[in-house]
Amino acid sequence: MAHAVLEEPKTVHMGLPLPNGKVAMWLFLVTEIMFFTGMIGTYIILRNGTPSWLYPWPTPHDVYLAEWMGAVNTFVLICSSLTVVLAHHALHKHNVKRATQLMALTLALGCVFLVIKGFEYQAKFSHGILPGRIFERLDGPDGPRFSNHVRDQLKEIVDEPEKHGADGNAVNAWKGFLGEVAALKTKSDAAKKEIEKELDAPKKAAEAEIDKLKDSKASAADKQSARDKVEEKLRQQYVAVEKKVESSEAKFAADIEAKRKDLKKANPSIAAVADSWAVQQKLPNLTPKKLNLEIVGTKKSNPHIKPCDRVPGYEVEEGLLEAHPDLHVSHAISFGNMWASCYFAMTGFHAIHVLGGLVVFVIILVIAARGRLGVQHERMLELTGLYWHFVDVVWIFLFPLLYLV
Amino acid sequence: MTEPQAATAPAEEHGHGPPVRIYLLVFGALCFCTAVSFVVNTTFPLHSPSALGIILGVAVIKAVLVGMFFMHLKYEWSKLYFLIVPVAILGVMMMIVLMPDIVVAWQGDRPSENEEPPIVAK
Repeated sequence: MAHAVLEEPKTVHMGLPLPNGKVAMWLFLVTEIMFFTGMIGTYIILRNGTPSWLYPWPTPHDVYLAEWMGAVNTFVLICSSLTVVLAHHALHKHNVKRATQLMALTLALGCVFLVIKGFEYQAKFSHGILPGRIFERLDGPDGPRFSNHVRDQLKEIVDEPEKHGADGNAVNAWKGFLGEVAALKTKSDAAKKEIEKELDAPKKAAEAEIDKLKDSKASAADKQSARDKVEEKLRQQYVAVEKKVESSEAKFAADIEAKRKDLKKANPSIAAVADSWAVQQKLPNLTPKKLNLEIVGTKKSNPHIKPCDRVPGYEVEEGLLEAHPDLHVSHAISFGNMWASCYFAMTGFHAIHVLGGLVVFVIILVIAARGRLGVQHERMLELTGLYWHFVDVVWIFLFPLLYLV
Repeated sequence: MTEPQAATAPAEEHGHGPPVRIYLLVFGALCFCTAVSFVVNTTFPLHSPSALGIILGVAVIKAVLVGMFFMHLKYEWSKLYFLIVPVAILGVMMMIVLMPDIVVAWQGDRPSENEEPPIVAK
């Protein structure tokens, strides 16, 4: 019989056909989307706005960025995304033990991500890659600061050869070399004095002549032209002597250079120190841009020299960093500070978000450790998973934008 | 939780996500995509536009896979798109809006590839 009773209406659910928690989490995630697209968008815009040829954006090599580390981190995060969704799945199937194991694995993978990131940051810090600390345009006030900074770095390398790869024998050989250089310098100074003595006689003669002119009866104009002739003759003698001094010093410098090359061949572990010493000797005569070229190298095949770094006509046989890529000597990096700001802002905020996720994982594991984890926490795990997947998606975009492109 | 769901919760697929097999397949696809973008980066020449296209396209594919399957959007899109779509539009719009001032305005300053660099200083 048909009942006249109205069927109880199904319970009406106000609002969205979703649990409140899920709506809340998604609202939060879309605000995070805005947050990260703000930063990523700014990076894209700034990078596209740079003049790309003369002052190019740094390549990963310029800023000591290892793409493979980023790739490994991507893989680690993808694995952790899988484990967190499997944990939720397990808890849904009432398998609390499996869910706990998977959450612990997720936490471990998250920690691995942060550890690798720590290594990456350490590489940047040790090379001075920090916003505001990178030397960019050396033809302005940054130039002398750059020269001073490099001078200090070279001094540190040369004064402590043991810290830069040299073994015991090499250090002794190095000290011997420095002694020989000092002796050669004394000889070269003595030779210079000897040569300059040649000027004594012509100088006295010229002075005597000019004295005679004072007493002569010639006109003022004639006296002047005679004086000019005497001074011109003396000047040419000075020039000749200077050339002799130059060639004598060049010979000594060549001797020193030959000894240095022999030392490098005999003791390869001292090569970095020896090359740094060579640049150190050239320092007083180098402009900041030339010093930068000495460090970076100028070969056409060198992909890391930028058009803005070149000095027309200045070529270097081999740059310090070409021969010894791990040496801690600064060089100019065009747009380096902009790169560092973008990199640290984006990866730093991402790392903070990862840390936040790890805190929640720890809370869940503490609940599990107390034996309280159960099916009633399934929703919590799902929402945690949503957050963690979002963190993964952000990294999926950050990795190519910062490391690969 | 004091939600007015009582006995007849509205048809929720949450919790009834795809089977584990699907998760593992998606994981495999993500690893493959990561490998592809890394290999493209190492083999193509520096700053090649096609490498850029491939790598960013792969990134979008990965993000969509994670969103659809790991975040269950494939099953809940109809309930959530109203939150996500405007935000995505706004995000992209912000970049487009800034482009004229920061990107296009400076393009006239770029020297051509073959020009000699100006001598800025010795």
